Amino acid sequence: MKRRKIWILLLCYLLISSVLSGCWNYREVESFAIISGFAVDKKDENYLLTFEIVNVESGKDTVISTKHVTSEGTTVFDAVRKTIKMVGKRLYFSHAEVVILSKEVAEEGIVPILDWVARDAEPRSTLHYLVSKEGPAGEILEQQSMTSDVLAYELSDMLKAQRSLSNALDTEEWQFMRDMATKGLSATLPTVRLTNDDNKVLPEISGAAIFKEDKLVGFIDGEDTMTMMFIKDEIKGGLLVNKEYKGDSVTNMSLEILTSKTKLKPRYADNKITMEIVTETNVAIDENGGRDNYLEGEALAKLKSDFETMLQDNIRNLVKSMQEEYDCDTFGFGRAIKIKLPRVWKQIEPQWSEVYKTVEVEVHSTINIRNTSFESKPVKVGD
Amino acid sequence: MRMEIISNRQGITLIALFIMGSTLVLGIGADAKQDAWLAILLAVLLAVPMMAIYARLLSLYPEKNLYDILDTVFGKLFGRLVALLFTWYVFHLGAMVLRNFQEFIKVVAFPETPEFVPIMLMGILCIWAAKEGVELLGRWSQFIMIILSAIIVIVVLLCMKDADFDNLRPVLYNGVGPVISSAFGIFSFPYAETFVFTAVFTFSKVRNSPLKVYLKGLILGTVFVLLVSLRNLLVLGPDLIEQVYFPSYAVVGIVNIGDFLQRIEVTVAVVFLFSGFAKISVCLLAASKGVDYIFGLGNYRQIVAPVGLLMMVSSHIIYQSIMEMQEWAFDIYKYYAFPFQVLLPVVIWIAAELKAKRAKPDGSVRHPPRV
Amino acid sequence: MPILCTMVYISFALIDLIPIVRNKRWKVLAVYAVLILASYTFSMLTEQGIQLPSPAGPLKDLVTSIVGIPKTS
Repeated sequence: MKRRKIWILLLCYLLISSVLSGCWNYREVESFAIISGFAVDKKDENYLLTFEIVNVESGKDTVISTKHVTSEGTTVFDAVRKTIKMVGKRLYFSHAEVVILSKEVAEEGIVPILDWVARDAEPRSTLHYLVSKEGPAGEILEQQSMTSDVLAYELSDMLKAQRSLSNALDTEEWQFMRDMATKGLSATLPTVRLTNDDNKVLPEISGAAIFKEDKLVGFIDGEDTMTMMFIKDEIKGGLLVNKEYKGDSVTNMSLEILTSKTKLKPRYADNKITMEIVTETNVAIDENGGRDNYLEGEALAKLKSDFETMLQDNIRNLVKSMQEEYDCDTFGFGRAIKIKLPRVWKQIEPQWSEVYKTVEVEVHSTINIRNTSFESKPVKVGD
Repeated sequence: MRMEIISNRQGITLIALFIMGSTLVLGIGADAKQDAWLAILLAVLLAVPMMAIYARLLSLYPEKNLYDILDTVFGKLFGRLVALLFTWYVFHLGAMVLRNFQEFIKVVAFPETPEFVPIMLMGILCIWAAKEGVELLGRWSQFIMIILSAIIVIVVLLCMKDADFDNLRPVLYNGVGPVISSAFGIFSFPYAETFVFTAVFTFSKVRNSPLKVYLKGLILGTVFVLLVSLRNLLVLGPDLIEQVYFPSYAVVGIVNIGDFLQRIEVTVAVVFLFSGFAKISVCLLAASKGVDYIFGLGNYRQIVAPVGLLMMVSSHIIYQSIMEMQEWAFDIYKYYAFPFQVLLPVVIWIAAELKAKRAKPDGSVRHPPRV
Repeated sequence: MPILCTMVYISFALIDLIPIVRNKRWKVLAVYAVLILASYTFSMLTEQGIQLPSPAGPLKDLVTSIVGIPKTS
């Protein structure tokens, strides 16, 4: 008995150790070309993809460098595989964080690209999409990055940093897919373009691309994007800036947004839909740029109401332009109606495109000035 | 043959693991869209009477399992016929779960690994476990349940950052119809599958209460199923859930805490591994006992290996592709399983009650000594 | 790969059959042999790529004929 047991145990050990690595085959890290991000342009009927490949050389110091490869194909995956013609390694997408789409590609309809990114197991669902506002998407990816070694990762950091600026709405792949699938909501993506600054070319992320279904229909700038984020309850930080006038003196005021909450309340009466947009924002006064004191008393109250009016006007104007120019329910009015007034939604859903244009908007913004940061009074000037 | 008695708690955790089995990874209730959670609750209500019947069968004949009951109630010939039907069902079920498991591994982890490798590795383990018997499974499930519960709860908490409660609204937008039809589907998969346990459990009259075990197991398993389904709904929303084969995997892929804790999809794989293993082993155990009874072999342990190997091969044969698997699982299974999960048990139960009445008035039954 | 498969079958057979034969349980041996040979045959055939009939098709037809076309989810 003992001997047989030993043989069996040995067999077990052999079997187990052969599978303990858990892998059927292996791929050396060096046999991969790690992609940090890629850009999609159109060339005639084909897709032109630009890839940023990250090279890690370890030696005395770890050197990270990037190379760029472009490839053309009939479909997205076709272009991806064709890179093998130029690169000795297969592309590996699990570390990709950014996908930049050109204006043309977006205008045509981005489902073909969305499909591959979603279907293939390698790209993460947390990668970020961007639309290139001017010029080819590939060009943006090929720039030398300023702060980090890898441009795609820098773009991803820029998107995350937008929390403090709110000029662009960072959208991850799964969020974009979810928004596109939702009836009663038109999706948006942040936009990027190249700016010339002192003869240095830098990518700048600001503004949003408006999509109707899966086609790009227009762009809005950074300021309007902030307003859009207000309506969509996506504000996590940023500044509200305005000027206050008292006679001849002008004071620049900046309010730093601490937190903000927006509620959409649809109402239905007499065959008319009214959408109440209620925002409540907590701010701190971060700049009282002048000699006049807006930090207390009546002036403070005026400041508060001036900013509230500004925000309300911005919101009202943006909604109007969305309704009239773009005919896109970017803010999710439809979705809000479906959630809060389901019976009404059932009736109007088939004609939502038309009904959307007729929605009246009532905006109530409250700005709570929580503190004036470090100083309680304006800068004192003797003589 | 020695008695295999398991404690109440072991039975409860085993049933819970079985319920969680393929449910957690495939996802259920997708038909009901945002009301999937309602469908689950409704399915629980539907399941309770059936489970009471299953438990009653076990209570009527303590220390006997389904096949012994069939023998007593229907006699040698008819009992064996019914056992054949049941054995086929449970064998098929085991093969299906094994195939689910293999497709999951293939899509999500190892697209290049030949199909039979995960099947074989899992199959060998299940054969071993089934050979050891139900007490091993019971003890193991007690232990594993604690680990899995912790993993599931932690992952669900990590996902809450991306949760949007509006995804659950408007409640009952599409009416009650989808909820009811979805609940029927959930009743079939996984709840009424617990009928399989009547072939596997042998309870002592004194130490166990089959009804308690079934109901508590139902609740424990449902807690986690509900938790996971709600999490999937809250994060992905009903529209996205339809698009992916494995919603849990997609949701967990979104978790990204401080750029550090990300791509934790492996936790989903681990949960499925363990609960899938439990389910397949139970099915294999039940099927082996069935073969043992049908052919009068006397000890199921000796036949586990070939039954298991056959199950492994079958799991490869039964579907040609993952699309076919999906279609079968969601559209056809609930109808196919109904006779096995409801009609058969009810018939057996009625016959058993009648037999019990005809025997001693105190309700206990004289059974022939086991061969 | 067929080699690995065969090895698995043989190891199971060895582990199981020795006590069965020793105890002269011929009925068990018979059932065991039938089952394991059947599954071995199916494995080998599948390895070769031959498509074996699956109950999924006929069962699906049976169900559809009784219940009607099931709704796709």
